[in-house]
Amino acid sequence: MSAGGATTVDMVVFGVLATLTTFFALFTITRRNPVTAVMSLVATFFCLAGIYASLSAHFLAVIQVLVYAGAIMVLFIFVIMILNREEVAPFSLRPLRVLGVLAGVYLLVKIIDVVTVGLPEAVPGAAPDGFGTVAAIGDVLFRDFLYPFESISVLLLVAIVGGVVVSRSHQKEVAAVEAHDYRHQIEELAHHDYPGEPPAPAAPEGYH
Amino acid sequence: MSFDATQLFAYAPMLILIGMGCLILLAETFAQGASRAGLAWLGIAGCVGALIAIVAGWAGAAEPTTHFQGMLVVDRMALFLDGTFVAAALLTLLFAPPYLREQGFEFGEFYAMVLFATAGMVMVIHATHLVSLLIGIETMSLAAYVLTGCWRRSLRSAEGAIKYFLMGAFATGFLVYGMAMVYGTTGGELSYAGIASKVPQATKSPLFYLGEYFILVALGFKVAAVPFHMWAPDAYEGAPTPVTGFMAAGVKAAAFGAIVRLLGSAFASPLLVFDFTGWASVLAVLAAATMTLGNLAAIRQDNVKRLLAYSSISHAGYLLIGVVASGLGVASAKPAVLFYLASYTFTTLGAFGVVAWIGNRSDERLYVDDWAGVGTARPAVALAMTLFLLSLGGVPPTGGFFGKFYLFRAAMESPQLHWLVVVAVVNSMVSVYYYLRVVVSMYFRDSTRALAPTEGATMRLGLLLTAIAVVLLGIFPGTVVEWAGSIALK
Repeated sequence: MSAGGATTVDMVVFGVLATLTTFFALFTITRRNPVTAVMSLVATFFCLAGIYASLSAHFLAVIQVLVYAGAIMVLFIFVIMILNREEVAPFSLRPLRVLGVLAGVYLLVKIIDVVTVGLPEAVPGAAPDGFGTVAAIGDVLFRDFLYPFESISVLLLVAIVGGVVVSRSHQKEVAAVEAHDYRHQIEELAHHDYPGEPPAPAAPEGYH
Repeated sequence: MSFDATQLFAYAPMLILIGMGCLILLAETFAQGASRAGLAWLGIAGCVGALIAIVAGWAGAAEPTTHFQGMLVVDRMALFLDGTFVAAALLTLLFAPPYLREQGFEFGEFYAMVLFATAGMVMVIHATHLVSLLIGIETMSLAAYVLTGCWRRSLRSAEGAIKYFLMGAFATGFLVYGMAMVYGTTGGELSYAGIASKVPQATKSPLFYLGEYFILVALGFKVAAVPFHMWAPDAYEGAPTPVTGFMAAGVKAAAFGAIVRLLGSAFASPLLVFDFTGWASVLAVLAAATMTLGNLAAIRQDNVKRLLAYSSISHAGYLLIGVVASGLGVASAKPAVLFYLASYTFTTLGAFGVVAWIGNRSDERLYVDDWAGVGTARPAVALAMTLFLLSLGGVPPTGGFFGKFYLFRAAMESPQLHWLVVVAVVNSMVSVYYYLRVVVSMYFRDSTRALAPTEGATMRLGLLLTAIAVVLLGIFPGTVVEWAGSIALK
């Protein structure tokens, strides 16, 4: 939607999607039940994708659904299921059941509608032809934004390596420190009849 | 428009740093035990290579040239600060190996991260587009978070890293939101030049001001200016000491470079500098608050690492004076800021280098009382530390004195800033008190227990180099300012 091209419909769609996004985002951080929180996050991502699509950034919308709502969220849900924390009672599903039935009926009607009547004409957007298509994205990405595209790979490399560095086990490191201390003590014994000042126990702070 | 590979030569320092970082990551796989020491030398070689590339590119950078569709610029200011960053990385790589070996967590990724962080700083300072600025800042910050948290046995390191990471992520949010608002209100401009050209119509919308200040808030986080400084003492205290020096010097210098460039081009319009909504008065107040709060907190510290952390906050305040002065049109302010950054970098690295040197695995000796008797036991190191502390306090004949001198002289040229200079001078005098506490402890008190410092040839070399640099900056400040001036007077 280019400047000044915002119609009332656009604004309504945006308003609805933005409200939903905010609502689900709040839901994500206020629910105690992790599954509810994650599902709200999925809903947030879907609403965001809707906003992207209404801005005629179709490519971004598809990527958003595929990567975030698809891959990353499935990962999230699997992790939560595997962790298997004690269940906090999820909110009552009873009122939602009615909603679910209603949604199902609506979907059925829509499908019948599409099958029998056919798709409506594409809504003409204010954006120029090809805006937001894969070809246009590629053009911008590899011409105007070549440097960010390339340099972000360094950023990702740092993030991956950093994640490994911070999260890997440090048991080996601890063992190496202890071994060094013992070696030191033995060396001391070799030079003197009695050990000199014994090395103090390694790193008292944060040792576990 | 076809891609011209020769423009890559202008970015040789960045490419060398990244390439060497990748090489270290590869070599790490094959390194066992003692051969890991060689990885640090690979990093040092990378830094030396980058320094050579900077010197080689100096002559060609007299006139600024932009590349990659206006994403990056090569000019003398960028190269001057590149040199500072690479020197900081080099010294960190000299200080770190003995320290890491003593604490038992030497691994190649550490050295690679130092190089990647430096490459990020280089990206930041060359950026003339908000997107390239964002990528540079993130590369630098992510590497800094990892370096802060890589000391796995220490809970303080984890605490500092978490705080730094959360606050940093928050700051990134501000940066991106600010970028979005600037993008929207300028009609789709993200390059500094583009933003500057659209300022008159963009200022009709209050969202533009919001975006501008969001970006400044994000950069304020990175330089740890009050009131965005809360993460700094904990992150600085928790990080492995050589990393603390690197963060306090390099990350801060890079963020200041970005502020100077941003305010000097994108937000340089008089519409944005002056007035009620102008950044000059806002930053002047922040400068005064940063200096004063940093110093007042530092007075109360007994832990030398925290003391230096708070002192580094107060130095951000002095630097902001220079930024404001350059916004008010004082031509000598930019070179003064750059000189201050250079002298501050060497001094801070040296001071944290001594802090890294003095302790060992079982006894970190971080408290002022623990430094008693260093003067008689190890006179050379005590002398170096005294030199660094005097330089931080701004006592002649050190680099720190001339840093403050040039900065305050530039600020005096603008009548609106006289009050700020008075605040700064009073603050400098206050700061000498707590710096001298450490000196007094080293020379005039008797040691309570034997000194068992982390020894290492590279550490001694690093301390020697920083001490020489601080003295040279104090003896030949004119030459360095001339290098800095040849850039920034434009």
